[in-house]
Amino acid sequence: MRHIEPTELPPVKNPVQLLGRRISEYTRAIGFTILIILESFLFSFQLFTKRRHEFIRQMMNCGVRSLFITSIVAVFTGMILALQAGLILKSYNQEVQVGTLVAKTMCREMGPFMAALILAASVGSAYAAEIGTMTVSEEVTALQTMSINPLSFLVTPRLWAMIFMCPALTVFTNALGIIGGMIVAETQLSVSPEAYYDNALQLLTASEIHKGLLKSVVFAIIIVGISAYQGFTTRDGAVGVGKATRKAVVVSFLYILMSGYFISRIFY
Amino acid sequence: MLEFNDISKSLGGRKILNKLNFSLERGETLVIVGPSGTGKSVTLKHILGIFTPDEGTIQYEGSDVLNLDSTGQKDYIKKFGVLFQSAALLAWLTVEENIALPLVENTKLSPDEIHERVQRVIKLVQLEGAEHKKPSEISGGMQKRAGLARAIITEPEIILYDEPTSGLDPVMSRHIDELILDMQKELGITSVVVTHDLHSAFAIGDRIAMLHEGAFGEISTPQDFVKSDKPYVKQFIQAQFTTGKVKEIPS
Repeated sequence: MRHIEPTELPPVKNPVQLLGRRISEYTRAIGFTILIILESFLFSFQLFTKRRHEFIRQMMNCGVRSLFITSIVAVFTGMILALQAGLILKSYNQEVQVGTLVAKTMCREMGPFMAALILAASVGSAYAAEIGTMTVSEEVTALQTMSINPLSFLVTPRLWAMIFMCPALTVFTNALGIIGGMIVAETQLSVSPEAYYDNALQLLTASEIHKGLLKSVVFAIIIVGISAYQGFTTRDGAVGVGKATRKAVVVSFLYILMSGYFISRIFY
Repeated sequence: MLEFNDISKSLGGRKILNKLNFSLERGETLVIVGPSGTGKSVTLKHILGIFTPDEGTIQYEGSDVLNLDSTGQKDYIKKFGVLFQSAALLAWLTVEENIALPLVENTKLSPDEIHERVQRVIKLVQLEGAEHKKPSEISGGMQKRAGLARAIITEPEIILYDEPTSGLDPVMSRHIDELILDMQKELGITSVVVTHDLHSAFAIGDRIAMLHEGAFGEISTPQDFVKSDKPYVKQFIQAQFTTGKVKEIPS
């Protein structure tokens, strides 16, 4: 990885120049993020050799430590979905269909989205802060001077950990969301768990689950790419680390939502 | 050994280096001094090939450093050991793991051989007993010594020191100076030291270079450096030794 040199240019006041400056900075950021992702994939073979321990450590960070918050969000997402949709369905005497609606919505959209948003906020922000702190304290430069590629050392294990754990958490979110919906269906809509379960699985196809999982893989790559880019371009000490962390979360959220929409457009 | 020819570099629209020229001889210690923001660290980053100059050439033993392919760049950077201002130790590794890192990553040495070499450099920098501590559990001086141990473990041809005594008390600073001198004596290593600390510069430097307006305004032996009649050199020396109520330097 070549060092990403600072790009502070003389300030401009002309609105046209300012627009041009913003577009060029934005394009540069996208370009670097894509390069970071592609180059990090090139070192994937090291996961089975010298990056094994770091990969396992990152899997723990990414997956196991996010389980608690994911569980709460998933259950309540399913409950809210069941309640809102169930009340509308009830006015048509179709409340028994609530299982189908919750299962399809969770597996197609909400599960991948919720898991990715939680990971972007908790793990992605931590990645940006860790790499950002290492950048400002010259640890990234130190790695380069030791002939250690920072992407192979820092990004590849995180990238693969996220690629494995984001779909895993998505499956978990889907399941808990459906269970949350079942609780509301029984207590608020008087739909028995058996009827809810039968309805939920009757119309849900394997292909819908697979498409949801594919989305979560794309989201995982987006989260790590953006967090790593923000980390490597951090400047100005602690303040810079704070800015990088915030930007990593905000930009990840935007790209998760936008890419989610376009993937849905392709498949449905 | 290493030659900078008319190196210029602008960052953030400001010219940091302006036709910088110097050559480094094998075995010597060149100390670069100068006020903050004059390009000392930028010079180090050019030596390492981390920054690319806007103009000029850098030659290492006759070959052009700026046109090396990726293998050549890797081989080139392996000739250097670097002690960073903040020591730049990885927080989640122990002192021993930090020192061993370049060997673990870049060599096929067995764990026993690596352990033996780590123990040897730990003894050299007098860090016995701190091997299993994390960087946050040791003092700033010990972190610098651990950084120095990591810099020399690969037996580099040149060591670059970026502010080796900054943030340390005077006693620890002199101790680091002694360590740097020991490295020269025992390992015969060529060194480039960037510092604000003229005590250090006079103690360890064979030549002292002062950055002024992007180039070396003065480059000479410590004896000649103190006699320089250039106003910015005089001002820099006076500012270091006469501050506040102390108007004269005790002989």
